[in-house]
Amino acid sequence: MRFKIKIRGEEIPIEIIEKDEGLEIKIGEKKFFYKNKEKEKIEKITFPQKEKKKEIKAPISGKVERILIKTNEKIKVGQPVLVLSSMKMENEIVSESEGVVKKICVKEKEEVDAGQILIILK
Amino acid sequence: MKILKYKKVTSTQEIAKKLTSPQVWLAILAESQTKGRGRKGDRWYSPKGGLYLSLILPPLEFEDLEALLFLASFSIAKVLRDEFKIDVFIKPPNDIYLKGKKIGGVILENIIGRGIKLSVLGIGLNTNIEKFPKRLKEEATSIKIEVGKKLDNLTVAKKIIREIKKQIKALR
Repeated sequence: MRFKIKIRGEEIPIEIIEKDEGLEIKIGEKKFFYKNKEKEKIEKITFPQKEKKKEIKAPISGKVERILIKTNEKIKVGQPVLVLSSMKMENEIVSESEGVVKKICVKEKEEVDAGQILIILK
Repeated sequence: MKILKYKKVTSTQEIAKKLTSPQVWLAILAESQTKGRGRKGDRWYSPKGGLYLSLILPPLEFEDLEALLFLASFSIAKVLRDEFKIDVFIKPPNDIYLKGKKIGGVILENIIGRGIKLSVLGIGLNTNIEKFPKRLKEEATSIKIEVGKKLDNLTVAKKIIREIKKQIKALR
């Protein structure tokens, strides 16, 4: 695997080669070699992830028929939160995460687009 | 083909959606409903004599949904024509008419999380209903009233399910 990183305006090529006995990493002109045991340690290093916003979005466009939850209500995984009618169908939207309802971003009878945020959880 | 038969239910759709482990193609058939569902929360007149069926569908993609309602209406019309010689008219995508009045309807209810978790197809068909209340007389009728034929609801349901299965397989 080859890629470049830019440090203070200077592009530095990086190459990672996986070998039977370990991992070879070339950074610019320098070479590093990590034996398999050490390699395991490297793989465990992960970048910190940004905390994901818990948002419930409209999977398809449609009309909000009923809102089934209230602000500050605690909700569970799988709990129905809203009924969206679209294309002559009734769609019950369920939450995929648990949390407390921070904001309801839509009103009943409002038309929404696919991808539009319906509910924000905290 | 597994069909759970009930004498009287609130709504076959409600029963199907509340199943803890819904099996694909499992059907719920009732002789009457106290809270039969139509579209947009409307009630479906559901006395004894009519056919009230809900069917758990296989996993669907969002793009399949619209075609599905029409396929279900088409399947019902095809069964009535081919098997019982009753010619009906489909008002797309989901209403079925006979001699200018409504005799059937199809609804589709989905439970959606990250994807479609469950799709339940609901069918109401006025087969053997003998009379309608005043408020519905002008717009609804039944096969029995119009054609004089009494149909066996279980037989009709089985044929409709078979046809819908065939149509959905063709869609994929």
